Amino acid sequence: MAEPLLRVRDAYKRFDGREVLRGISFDLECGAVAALVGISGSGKSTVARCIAGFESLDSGEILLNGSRIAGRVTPAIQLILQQPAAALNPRFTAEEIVAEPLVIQKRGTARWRRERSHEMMQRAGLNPADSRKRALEFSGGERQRLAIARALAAEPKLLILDESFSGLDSGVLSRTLALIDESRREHGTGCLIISHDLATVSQWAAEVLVLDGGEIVERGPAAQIAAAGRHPRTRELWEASASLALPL
Amino acid sequence: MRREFDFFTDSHGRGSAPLRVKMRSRAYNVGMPSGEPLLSVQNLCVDVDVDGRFRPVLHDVCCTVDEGQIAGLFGDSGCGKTTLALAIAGLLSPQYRVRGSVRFQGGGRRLAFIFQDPLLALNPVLRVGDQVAEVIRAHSAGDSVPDLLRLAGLPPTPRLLRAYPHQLSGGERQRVLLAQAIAARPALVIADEPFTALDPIRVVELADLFLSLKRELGLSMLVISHSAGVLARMADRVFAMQAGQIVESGSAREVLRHG
Repeated sequence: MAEPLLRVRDAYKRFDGREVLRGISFDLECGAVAALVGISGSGKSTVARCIAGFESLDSGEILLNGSRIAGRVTPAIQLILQQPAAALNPRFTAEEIVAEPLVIQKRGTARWRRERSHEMMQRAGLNPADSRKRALEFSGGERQRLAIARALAAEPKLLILDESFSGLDSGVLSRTLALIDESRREHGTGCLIISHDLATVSQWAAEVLVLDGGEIVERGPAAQIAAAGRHPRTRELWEASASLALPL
Repeated sequence: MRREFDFFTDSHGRGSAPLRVKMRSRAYNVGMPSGEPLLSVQNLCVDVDVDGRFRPVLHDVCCTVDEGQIAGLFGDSGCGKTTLALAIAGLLSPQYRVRGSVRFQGGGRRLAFIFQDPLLALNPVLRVGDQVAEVIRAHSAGDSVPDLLRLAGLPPTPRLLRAYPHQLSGGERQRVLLAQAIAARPALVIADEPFTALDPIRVVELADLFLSLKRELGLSMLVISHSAGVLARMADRVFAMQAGQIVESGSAREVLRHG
């Protein structure tokens, strides 16, 4: 049987004596979208950081296409963080920010990288005419799009979106999702999405994993979790989300 | 870092932005005619200098916030919501050219601002207890640190008081900023995307906290959000922005049904 794109097995992580991840296991296939949901502090971002290689596990393993990657950063995995202002180099122009992963990977000529960064900006809904602006000259939502353009420019195998949609309005969000879908189709990019926007998660992810206290307390197809989740935390999350829907 | 701007003593002299702010004196406000809005923005235009050329960011913006009201500012990312909020607070950098009028009648009370990114707004090397105390000292405010944290919905546990901002959850950081913002009992709090990155349970809690502060402290707020649902839950009035202009205003139900 073929290896999944991503395999997380029995992952444990402890910070300052506190167990943050307690035996997390899941698989993600090529081109698939899975969502991690849960309240703040449930361990979602720690899972993301461990997969991206920014943290190492205390025990357990993470495999990308069958190879162990825990504790190692690879361009094949792109993590988009929830604070775009803090994640983007303030000294770089938009063009340099988007092209930087290509420079690191020593891909193409300077001219090709510039054209590629303009193309990615356009596809992410940004005006290439703004390519000389620096990160802090963009609005919060535009910085998010810049971070997404940068991540996809590298054609990653796995894209992790950690609350990357939180600054985006609905029009830009659907455009961004379409852009990521393109990358999934073209390159088989797998996508792990961490989001509090449960409406988007339900529509877009095939599988939803509910994290609570560092454990996966429920998992299943998005529609089933949304309509008939059994764990109290799952119900609480979806009820709060429903109460924020427009009463119209 | 000071986050409050006394419109009665500050002439908006930061930078060279030629904002003409029409302010009434404190004395004048005694016996102020009822029905005057707390904040009134009239024909506000903002241009930004890009390589020597001015590009329009806000065009002829008019909006008001009444005493004891929560007003919502709704719109797509990049439409100018944050620029409008910064212009109201007089915080735009010199590269912006501002015209029009911003009139704030706080009756001696001030305006406080909660910035979009709490990790950038909080001092990373000060413990929570110390940085809330700093704001109390700066404004000779009457509350204690635990009182303010409780008002912001945070139990003042030893862990919280001794924590640095990076050790808190996103929801806790927002509430620390809120505790600082209400320390001097401002007449108006401007909150820029305070719900971003909070889980739905925390969003509902924070929105309900804003509503209870409005009821209990008479706090007025201008809340910026691109989330229609949360504004529908709490805002008395919503202003919808698009490409630097207010395109619609009215009750949350009227404005937000169009998405």
